[in-house]
Amino acid sequence: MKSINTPDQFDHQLPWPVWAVVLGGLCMTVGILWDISWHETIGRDTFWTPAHLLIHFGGITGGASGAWLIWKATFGGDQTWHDRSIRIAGLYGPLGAWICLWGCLAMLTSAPLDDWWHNAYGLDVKILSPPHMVLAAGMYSLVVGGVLITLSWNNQASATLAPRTQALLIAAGGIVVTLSSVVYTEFSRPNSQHTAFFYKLTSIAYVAPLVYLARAIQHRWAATMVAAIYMGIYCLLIWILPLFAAEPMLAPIYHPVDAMVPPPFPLLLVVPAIAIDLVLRLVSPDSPAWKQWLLSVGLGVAFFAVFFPVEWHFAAFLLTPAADNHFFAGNRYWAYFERVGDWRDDFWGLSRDPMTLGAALAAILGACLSARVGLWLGHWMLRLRR
Amino acid sequence: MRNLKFYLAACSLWLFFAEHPAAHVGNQASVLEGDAGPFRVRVIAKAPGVVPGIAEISVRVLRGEALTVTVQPIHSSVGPEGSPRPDPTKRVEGTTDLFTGELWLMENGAYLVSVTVKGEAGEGTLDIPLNSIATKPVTMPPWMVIILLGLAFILVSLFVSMLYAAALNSTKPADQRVATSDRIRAVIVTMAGTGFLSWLLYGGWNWWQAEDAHYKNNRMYRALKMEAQSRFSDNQATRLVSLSLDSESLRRRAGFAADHGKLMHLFAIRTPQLDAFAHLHPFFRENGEFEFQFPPLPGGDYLLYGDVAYEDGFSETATSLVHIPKLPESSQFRNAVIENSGQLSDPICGIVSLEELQIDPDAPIKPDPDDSWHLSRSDASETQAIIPLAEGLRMEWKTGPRPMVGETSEMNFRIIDAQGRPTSIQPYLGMNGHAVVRKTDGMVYSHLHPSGTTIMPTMKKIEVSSSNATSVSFPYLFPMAGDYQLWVQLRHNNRVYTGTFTTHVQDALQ
Repeated sequence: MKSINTPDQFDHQLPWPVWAVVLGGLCMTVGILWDISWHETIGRDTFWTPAHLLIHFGGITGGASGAWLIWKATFGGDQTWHDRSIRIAGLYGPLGAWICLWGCLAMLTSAPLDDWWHNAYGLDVKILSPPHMVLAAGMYSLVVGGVLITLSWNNQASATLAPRTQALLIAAGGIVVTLSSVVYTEFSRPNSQHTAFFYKLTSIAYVAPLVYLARAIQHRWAATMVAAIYMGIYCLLIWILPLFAAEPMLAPIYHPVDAMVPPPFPLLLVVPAIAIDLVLRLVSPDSPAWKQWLLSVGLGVAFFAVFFPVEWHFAAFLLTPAADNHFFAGNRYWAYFERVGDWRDDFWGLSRDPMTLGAALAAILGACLSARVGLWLGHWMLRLRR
Repeated sequence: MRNLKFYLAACSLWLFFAEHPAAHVGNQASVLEGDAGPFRVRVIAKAPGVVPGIAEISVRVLRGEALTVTVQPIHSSVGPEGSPRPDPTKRVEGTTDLFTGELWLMENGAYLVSVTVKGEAGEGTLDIPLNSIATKPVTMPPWMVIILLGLAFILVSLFVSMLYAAALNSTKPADQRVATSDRIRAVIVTMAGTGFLSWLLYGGWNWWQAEDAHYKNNRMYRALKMEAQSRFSDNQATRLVSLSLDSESLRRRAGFAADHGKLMHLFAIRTPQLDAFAHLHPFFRENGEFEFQFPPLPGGDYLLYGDVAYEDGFSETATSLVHIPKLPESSQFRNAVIENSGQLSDPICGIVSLEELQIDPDAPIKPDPDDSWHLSRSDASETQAIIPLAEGLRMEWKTGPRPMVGETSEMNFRIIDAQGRPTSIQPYLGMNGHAVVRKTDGMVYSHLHPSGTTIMPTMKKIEVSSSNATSVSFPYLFPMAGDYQLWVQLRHNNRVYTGTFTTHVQDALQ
């Protein structure tokens, strides 16, 4: 078998599986958001809906690319591949490829479990369920695997190749953040964005990925661009999905819709991401540990100080008639099965879970710890070679 | 000892219905036969047993030539405006009159399935009520347990291996050797990561258990509990029974709706003899309390099946067990009660008039004029197609007791006189007949009408009676094989006659 990449070629071009894994991650991420819209608009689904097919394509592409990399490194007879691999059970492959393979297996595992779950407890009614979390773990592993594969190349890339690997990394990072956000969808609607839980959740959930991606990508505005890609994917879906006519096919229909329901407007993560990029420049990756801890505190405080006021007021705007348009989809993300009422214009959980000073401090603490984890991961990723 | 037997019977009844709840116990299929415009159709809708879920529906066109049949599930909370457009059904290959389709049911509660038939003769619609309730017990087949455990083992093993390999040398250039310190660090990282994974798996398992408990406690249908207590009237002349429906369950349901003009149709069957049978209509008091005077049937333990319907179209069967005491020797009304069916040369059937009943004029609760009851002869358990009634009449199961599981049984009955001539049948409670089907082990109970198993308040456009009928058919789908007993009630000469039949239902493949 003739190798498609020789060691010399690695200086000039990325192997196709690296691109393919990232493409697979993008397909899965768009597919899952499309699928959610499908459930909110049409209701009925089968294995063969376009959204499901996109997810399947993404999963197969990612898993097959990982498997191909392992095959190539183990049996390809190419020393460069071999040198960039870890060994598991006598087989060789880049760490990212193994993680992609694991993700594909997890997705396959979730299929019979999810099918049984539907037969036992009913068809899909919510995003968060044990089989869906197995699926999410698989999908997340596939996109993280894509990041790690790209990163291992980026960390050893020639000057010619570095801009391309960095661009691919930023794209993969944006996909990671977007896919993560899907899990938090049920807690992140604009109506929930004045509760303490929302800010605690976002502080913990988004700081770590933004920090580790920014550290690993080593671009001055890496976190900002990753956040922009996250927002871009959502915005494109918000603007494109409602262009397609559709109608509910399940009763009861409490809220008739005549087009695909868009997701809510994304969080304005790009604003705190700018702060993260700026604060990260204050301490280099090879600084002593105490500086890293100090940096974590700075990152956590900066994230919350910027994100909290921005999102607080933006959420209030999204609930006004001014946001009820095609651009912001302010009052247009309601599924057919949600009852019409004034509750849609209100913030939820204000009395049960108000945003207090104590809650703000807890959110800042969460953001700081999340930043520390992000730095650890980022520094490890910087050194990734295999 | 009698108390112990009663207690055991009550426990087994409760345990059974806790697992097999439904408006028609043990049978999730709704059957309805009626006219859809110029077409005569028989509709069978099988609820999926989970919510949300997909029900199966089959429509057989009995009269007329249909070109298309569409079905539309309408939830009681929103009506047609909140329903999706009707779905086409598919004609079963090789047939001209049978159509099948799917019904997507999203929520608990009452649905009305609108079946529209179109053909050259015109167009018509028939609505069939369907309860959407979660009844299916949650179990995982052993082969799936093995597959999932195998996949979980592979995933966990690969995860741990990846963790170790990643910590060992994923950051090392090719020319750098792995040191002992690297191995120690890798082991520590692997142990920590495995601990984290174990915590995740443990959390996931607890989550699963919590979801399972939530489903069983809150989403699965729970049979309406009914407590029954019997007592003598103050002068010990009659026996009165009080029914108390679980108020907590009723709070989650809509208000009662009248079915054939009655809020409850109660069937009482003496157990274990299965010889005494009554179709009664208790009086509603308040807060789910009902009362009725027990008819002149022998004392003993009685299974009670109370069919109730609600304003939203939902219907269900509440069950209980009650001990009916014998009237004391001193009671002047004791003669009205037949205590031993074995002494009968003919079965008795009521009711003719209140006077004939020798009803206590001072009884606090009078019988409902539409109450009826029956006491079989002691040899009535034999499987036969013709059984004797009172006054020399006989009831004939024309189509014969040979139903099969999964096939729509068209059970046709008539009353014949001593000369074998069919007699006219009068409407009873708005229908040409009523029937109760009960599997002898109690796994199945259904209250049937000539139009099927559906409850009247939710039905539309169905002819309810005919004054010149000489036979009555009950369409029914037996859900499982086994021995069944049927009580068929037909009215003739202003008297309700109850015929008791037994039959063995076979699996279709046998």
